[in-house]
Amino acid sequence: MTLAEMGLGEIFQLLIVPAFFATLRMLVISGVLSTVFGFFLGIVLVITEKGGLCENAIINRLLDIVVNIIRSFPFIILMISIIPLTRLITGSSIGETAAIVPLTVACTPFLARIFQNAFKEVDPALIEAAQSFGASKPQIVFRVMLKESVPAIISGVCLAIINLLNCTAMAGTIGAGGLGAVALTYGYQNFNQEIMYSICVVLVILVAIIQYVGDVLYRKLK
Amino acid sequence: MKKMKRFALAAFAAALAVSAVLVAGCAGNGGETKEAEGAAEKTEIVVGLRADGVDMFNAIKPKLEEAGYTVTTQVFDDSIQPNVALGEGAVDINWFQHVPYLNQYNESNGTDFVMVEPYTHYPLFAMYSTKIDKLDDLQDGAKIGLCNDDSNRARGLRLLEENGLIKIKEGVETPTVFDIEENPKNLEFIEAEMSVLPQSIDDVDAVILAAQHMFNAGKDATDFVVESSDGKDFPLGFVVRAEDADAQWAKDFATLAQCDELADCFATTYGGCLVPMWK
Repeated sequence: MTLAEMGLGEIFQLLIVPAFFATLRMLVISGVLSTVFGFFLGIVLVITEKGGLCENAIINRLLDIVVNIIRSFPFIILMISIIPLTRLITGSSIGETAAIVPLTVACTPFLARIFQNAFKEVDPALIEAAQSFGASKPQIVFRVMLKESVPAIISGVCLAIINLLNCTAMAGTIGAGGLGAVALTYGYQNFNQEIMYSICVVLVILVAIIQYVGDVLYRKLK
Repeated sequence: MKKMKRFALAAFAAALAVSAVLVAGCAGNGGETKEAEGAAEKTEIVVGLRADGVDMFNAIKPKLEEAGYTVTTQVFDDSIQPNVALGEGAVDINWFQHVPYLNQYNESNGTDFVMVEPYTHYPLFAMYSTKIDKLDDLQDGAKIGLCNDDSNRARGLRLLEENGLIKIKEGVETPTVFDIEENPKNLEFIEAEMSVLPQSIDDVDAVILAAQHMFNAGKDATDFVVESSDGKDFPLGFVVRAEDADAQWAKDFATLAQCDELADCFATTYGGCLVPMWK
């Protein structure tokens, strides 16, 4: 039986379910990694800026440029251009594991900006108050800035994860598989509308779930 | 190819209407002149080429001129205009397409162009590896990089099948990895963009793709493990309008092209990505 003759159930079992888990693995691993990296990058960006906790114009400017450069790359070009780095880290330049590197690299600066913006919104008076109580810098960062900006961070991370999901679709170029790649090669290029639209439905549901979880967390923590 | 077909359909629906009128008009005239001139041989030929084919044509041009033909070339950037120009009579013969493409074009545009035999060459499609020298060295569970587009993925799988590495379900025209029935060596497949595969060759055990992409990536296209046997199903050659199918000049073109100069050009300028049919 060929793909064209298969029913929806078989297509799901054979193609969509494995692709879904591939997408989910990429999403979770690179999502967590880029949130961690983005968090530290965002912190450094905020505390080194003018009037920040540890003002340092050089580091701030440098990181700012790096973040802007990475964010300027179209994802597909970024993926190809960092192949040596990808190979260094994962030992391969194609495949699902390899795709996690460019996904993380692409998403980290995006998240750094989200964290940076969230931290900036923290009322300066609050930080001053903490300082006057003799709070140390790490205490101010983690107990005041982070605590105060949690809701903004949650909705920002949610935004970034959905953006990341978009990127995983392009990771098919380097053989990562996943929903986007299957929709493109087995759906679109194969003129199999059934596969293409089933995947779109799955993606819509996935995005809805991510957004819903984000909204619930946001409301709870606000 | 299918996308091509749709594009061609849309873009040339209008052109077709015009050319239909032209062809109808020209057919009458053509017939008269042919009768009038009779056996007088045509010696001034306009050749339609695609930009990437200029070098190979220059390799045979002296031969054609020696044989008494005055040749002018018309260079195109895409794969559709050379055929449109042929239909309109702007060129007498073109040399850029393979048989499956020609058939597809004829079918979707209602033309009846003919490829003159003997055919000249075919593009190399093969398995490359930096880890193995022959197929027997392929380990259990080896990773194979396949192209992620329909027709090239299918050719890659067929190559594996004809070498006894996998078995594909019967009756499948364009197989995918889901049509593999038996995979005794437990080969693992990674499907990626054809242009990415050459630089990822070290990360898998073998990649199967069109030689052109290896050459483009600066690798030796002739250093393959095994060549696809269906290369000859994609032969390229000189294409003319149906009424010229038996013309002596058209035959001369196809025959004279089978020279060492062209073979040398394929081997050097084209890095061995094109294989002469006569060798």
